[in-house]
Amino acid sequence: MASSDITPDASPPRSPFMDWARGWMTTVDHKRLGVMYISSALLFFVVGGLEASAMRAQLSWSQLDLMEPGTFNTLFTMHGTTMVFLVGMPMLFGFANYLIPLMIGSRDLAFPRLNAVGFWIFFFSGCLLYYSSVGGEALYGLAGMPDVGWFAYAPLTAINYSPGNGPDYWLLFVLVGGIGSLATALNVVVTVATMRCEGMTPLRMPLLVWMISVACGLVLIAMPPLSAASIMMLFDRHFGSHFFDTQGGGSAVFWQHLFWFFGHPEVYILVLPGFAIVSEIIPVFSRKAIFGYPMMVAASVCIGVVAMGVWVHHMFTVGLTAGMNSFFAASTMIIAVPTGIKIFNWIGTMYGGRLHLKMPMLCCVAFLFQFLCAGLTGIMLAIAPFDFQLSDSYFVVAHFHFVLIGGLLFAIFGGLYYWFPKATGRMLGEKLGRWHFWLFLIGFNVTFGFMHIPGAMGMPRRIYTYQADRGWEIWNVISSAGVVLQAAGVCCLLVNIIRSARKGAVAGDDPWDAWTLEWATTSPPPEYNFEKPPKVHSRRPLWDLKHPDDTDGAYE
Amino acid sequence: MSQDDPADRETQAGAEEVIRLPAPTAWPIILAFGVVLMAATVVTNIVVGCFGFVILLAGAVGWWHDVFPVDQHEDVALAPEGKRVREIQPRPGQVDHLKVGEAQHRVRLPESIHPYSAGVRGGIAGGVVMAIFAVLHGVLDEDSFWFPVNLLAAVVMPGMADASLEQLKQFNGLALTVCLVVHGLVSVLLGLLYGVILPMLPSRHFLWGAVVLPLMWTGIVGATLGVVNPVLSEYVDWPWFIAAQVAFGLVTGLVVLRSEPIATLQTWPLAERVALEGRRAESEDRS
Repeated sequence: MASSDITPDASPPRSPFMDWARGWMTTVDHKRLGVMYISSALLFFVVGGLEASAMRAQLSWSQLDLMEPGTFNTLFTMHGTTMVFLVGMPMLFGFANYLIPLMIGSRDLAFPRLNAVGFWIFFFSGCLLYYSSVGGEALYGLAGMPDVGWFAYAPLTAINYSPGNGPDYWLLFVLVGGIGSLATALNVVVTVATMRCEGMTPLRMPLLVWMISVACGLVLIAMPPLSAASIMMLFDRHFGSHFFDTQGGGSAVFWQHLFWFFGHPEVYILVLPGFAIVSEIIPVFSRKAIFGYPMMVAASVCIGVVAMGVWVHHMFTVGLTAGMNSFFAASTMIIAVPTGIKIFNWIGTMYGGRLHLKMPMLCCVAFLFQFLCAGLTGIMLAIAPFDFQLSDSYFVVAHFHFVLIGGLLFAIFGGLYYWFPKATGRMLGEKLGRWHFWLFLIGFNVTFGFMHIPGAMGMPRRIYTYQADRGWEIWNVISSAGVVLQAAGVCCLLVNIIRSARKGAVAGDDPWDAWTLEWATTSPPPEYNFEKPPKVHSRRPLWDLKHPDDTDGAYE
Repeated sequence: MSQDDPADRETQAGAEEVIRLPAPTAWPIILAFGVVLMAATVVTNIVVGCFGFVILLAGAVGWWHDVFPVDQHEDVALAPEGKRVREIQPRPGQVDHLKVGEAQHRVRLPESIHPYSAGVRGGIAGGVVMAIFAVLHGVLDEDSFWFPVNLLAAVVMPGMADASLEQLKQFNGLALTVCLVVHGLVSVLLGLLYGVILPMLPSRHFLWGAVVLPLMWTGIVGATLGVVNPVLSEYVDWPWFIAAQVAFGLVTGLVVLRSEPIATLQTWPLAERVALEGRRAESEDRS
């Protein structure tokens, strides 16, 4: 295609701030969009964390009334929605945006403008969701943030039971945000398929590229049914249709199927990027090539496939047939096999390696332990009769926080420490990093480790308060105390990021002596990434350059 | 990066100091804002939606002009010499290769294994010996040949939970069938497990097979028996139970260990494993 040069010859003088703002708002550069995704996700992470802290304060002892019950409902809804859609997914897209073109030796994603649209739709949809806290009342007098839980079950969302605009905000947010997610996921998949540099065959791609591609593939399959369900729900609420109205011939369980057909793959959409980050960090800090690369690839694809067939384990208590329950219990257990392969291979990579316990690696080691715990409680919950007992209890809450915080968030922390020098040219402080790590690690385990106990004792999730005679107080006060440590840890991280971005030690091009292509350019990389398109001969192109007498090609 | 990318061609064709990249544009943010405003109609006002539609339209038209008839781009100058990436310096001779057994590095690839059929045979033999122990216990302690049979059958016959002690001592055809199937299956599976894992265990296979594994199995059974088989849990005689497990381990382990080991392909190169080398060698021989 022909193209026209719009490079300005002489720009009129503008204020530096306007230049800065314009540069970020009009950019189509994948690295800037990646930074914007991750920064926005961190912002929403703080918001979601504050919501969680308020809930833990309310639950820290029996019969407290620090807030209205309705406020509590909006808090758990907004917390869940924020953390899943406005933190987890943007983190995925942020890392994908920043790293994938660099790792495959490309100049940008396949569709740079579509990439920008994807980000801005995500960002504005988040604004729309939070606008519900201030906007609605002024217009229709039906204000209110969503208060129907992050999976918005029918018939609670029917107009009769939730007459305000809260559920509408949630549905519109999911619908519009889904468009942005689809745009970016499509972009990533096409980029990986078509824009790899010379020599980068599929089995030479970094594992991060493989795993994020699988996650984006899952987005493409799982997101449309949720968008369709959101539209159907809006029709039910405003145009008199009866898709989910049991009284009118619809089916409330139908919503659950549509939601969880998205919702469970979503868990893997979130956690696969965590796997991806860990798979890049562990080899570098063990000074060994990844153990069992082909099996890691196969396990990732296998997880992607099986993840589409397990959603009913969220619905064991609905009252489906024994055959359905058995099938989905089995498929849920089967997904532990490829996940186990991954854990085995990460440990196999560390085994016999020369471990460097720098911050990225510390986070990965914590990830391994905590994700294993999460997997074990996951297997317990996959057993249908066990799930009958503990569904919708705090045991489940503890389980999925072990997945998403103990697993995903620690991997993201590792990724931040690992690639921050590449993005900014400066190292994140190691000392403050260790304060962050240990405070958060202890706080997390105190909060969510002990949370299993009241759950097993029967404490239901989403309750506003509880009676004093249940024996739950001690466990709840311990869980709430852990939040203080976690908050202190997050403060250390934020201070570290702000301070290091300005005054951190200069990183150099390749501070970790790593092997993938992003370290073959400057820190931060120039707009064009590479002066000349790179050419690779193995899975570790920088290793080949550093050790020409012992290249990887001989072993692959 | 694809070799057909115009950006590359520009760089390679001689314009060495600039690289062509997609130009920054405001249309994506405008279009996105329009989409969100349109959606917000439902919770705000139709006017907001109309406004959103206008913005979306403007964004779409602007975007169209960004890419048609020609793609807008900007030429980005290469970084000055001093700020470009430093060439990666080779470091020959710095790689230490880990050798098998070096620095007490534990590498246990079984070069030979026992055939799986030995595991099946061992499981059957061990199962028979175990059954003899169980029957001995029934006859000597409970005066009933059928008592252990009915206890084991209770694992899949919930009705047995209500049976009295006298009923448990009577012959029950269905219980006998169930007992034979359950005991046979579990014995064969455990025998297979022995066959697979015994070569991989550290030395003293006999100790592992005859003592450690039966005790571990007994521990697992002891922890779960109340759930899996409440009837057996109520009447089980633990010394007899442990003796039967150890007898199973001894016999199964002996049968497995006495079998002739066969070589694995673990140490073979992939090409040899799939017989590629062999074919090449044969063709070379022919030529």
